[in-house]
Amino acid sequence: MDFDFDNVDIVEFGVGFDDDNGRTFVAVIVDTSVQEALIEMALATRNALLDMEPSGYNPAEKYSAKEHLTLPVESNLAIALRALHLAENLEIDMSALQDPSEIHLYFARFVDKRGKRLTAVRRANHFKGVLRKPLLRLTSDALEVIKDRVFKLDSDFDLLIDDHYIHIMRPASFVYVAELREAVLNAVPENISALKTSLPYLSFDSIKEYAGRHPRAARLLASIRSSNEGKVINPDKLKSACKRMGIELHDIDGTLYVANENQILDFLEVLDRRRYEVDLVDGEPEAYKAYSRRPVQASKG
Amino acid sequence: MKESLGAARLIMVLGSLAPLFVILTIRGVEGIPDKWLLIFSLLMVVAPNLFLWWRIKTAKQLQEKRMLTTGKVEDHRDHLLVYLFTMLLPFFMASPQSPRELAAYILALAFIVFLFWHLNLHYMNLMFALFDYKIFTVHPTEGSAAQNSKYSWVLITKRSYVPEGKKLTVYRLSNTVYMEV
Repeated sequence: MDFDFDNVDIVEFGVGFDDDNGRTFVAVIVDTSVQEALIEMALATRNALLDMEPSGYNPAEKYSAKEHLTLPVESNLAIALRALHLAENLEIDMSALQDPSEIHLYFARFVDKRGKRLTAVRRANHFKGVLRKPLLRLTSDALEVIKDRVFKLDSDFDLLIDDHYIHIMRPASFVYVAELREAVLNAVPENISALKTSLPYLSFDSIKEYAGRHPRAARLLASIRSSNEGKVINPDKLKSACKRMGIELHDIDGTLYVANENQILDFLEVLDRRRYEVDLVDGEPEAYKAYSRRPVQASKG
Repeated sequence: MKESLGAARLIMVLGSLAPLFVILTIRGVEGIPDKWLLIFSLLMVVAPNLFLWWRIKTAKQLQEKRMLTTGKVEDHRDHLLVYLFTMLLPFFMASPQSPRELAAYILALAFIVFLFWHLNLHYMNLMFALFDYKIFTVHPTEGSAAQNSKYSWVLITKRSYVPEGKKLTVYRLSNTVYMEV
């Protein structure tokens, strides 16, 4: 990670909420005790990430609760978080905490002594959760309800952002805080034009229209794009794989069309290597789909 | 931008009136014993500036530090002229001779204090100039990203020139006034 955790110079705290302009981030002034707690949280996140093997984030993949996933900051899936990380002079708005139910996330922005920036983000579940329950404190001889507005920090963040990568620890939270649903839908046209080099013989018209309405298809497109960068998929092999999976393709003058709109998702799963066949029993080939998968390294032997 | 620290800003505006109180004490006011005028003026000169010093110290202690990027930067010499013409000269010329004149004088002063407070001109303090600090208005960065602030802010610094696009580590005196120490 391109940040010196031992020499943090500036700590800025803030929250994110939705208003008429969409997702808005504002800074909230905090004292040194909160700043120290935020540094502790960032360190705990960094240490937890270091304990896990990093891999690239894939928007179509199903992940476990905690992973170490990386996504380049320039990715079109990172627009919302990139805006937060690169924001130069965030507005200060102490009134943002007046209505905690509107707060979606909280964040800390750190600057080290070299001027490098790190942004840490956490979904605000527990942060505002304590407001719904009465908190008690022990006075001299009795328990009493704390009437002040109390917020709660977590023990770590969901993700860290340096100048090059988003380091994701909780993929489910990332989907929420990065507004991934909107990001993948907005990225459909760009992903399709990029895929045309890998699949020059495929008609994307119906796929584009379908993916613009279905986030799952849009996620698969983003995944197919990232895994096929610089590759050309063999049309005969694609036709053969679709035939085995029961997906009907029409070949009109060398251009392939997905015949049935209901099969577009299945077709995209084939392209994203999420459909596979196992043939262990004679005459009974079995077909499966994989929501989560890892590349297998050939064992030396 | 929503300003905060309302009381603090008011005290800082009062601090900017220090030269006026000094002049007032030297000239004297009809019907008010010099002793009381001196005590009052001393209080009005010392207390707000003491508060300003305390605010800067607190900002440092609480690490109210931010890294801000400069947009277009404007020198604030014209604001000093505004200060001189609205604050010092008219009141220097006035010499209240009756209780009614004195009441009108105080009311006019209160009105100007309110305006300075309302327009966030609380940085207009001669103490900054005495310690060789300059005051600049910094506009938002050009082609600002969606999350960048759209508001201008005031920079108090010892630099005589602040280039556009410079990243500065500054302490927050209020939401629109920052000091580079």
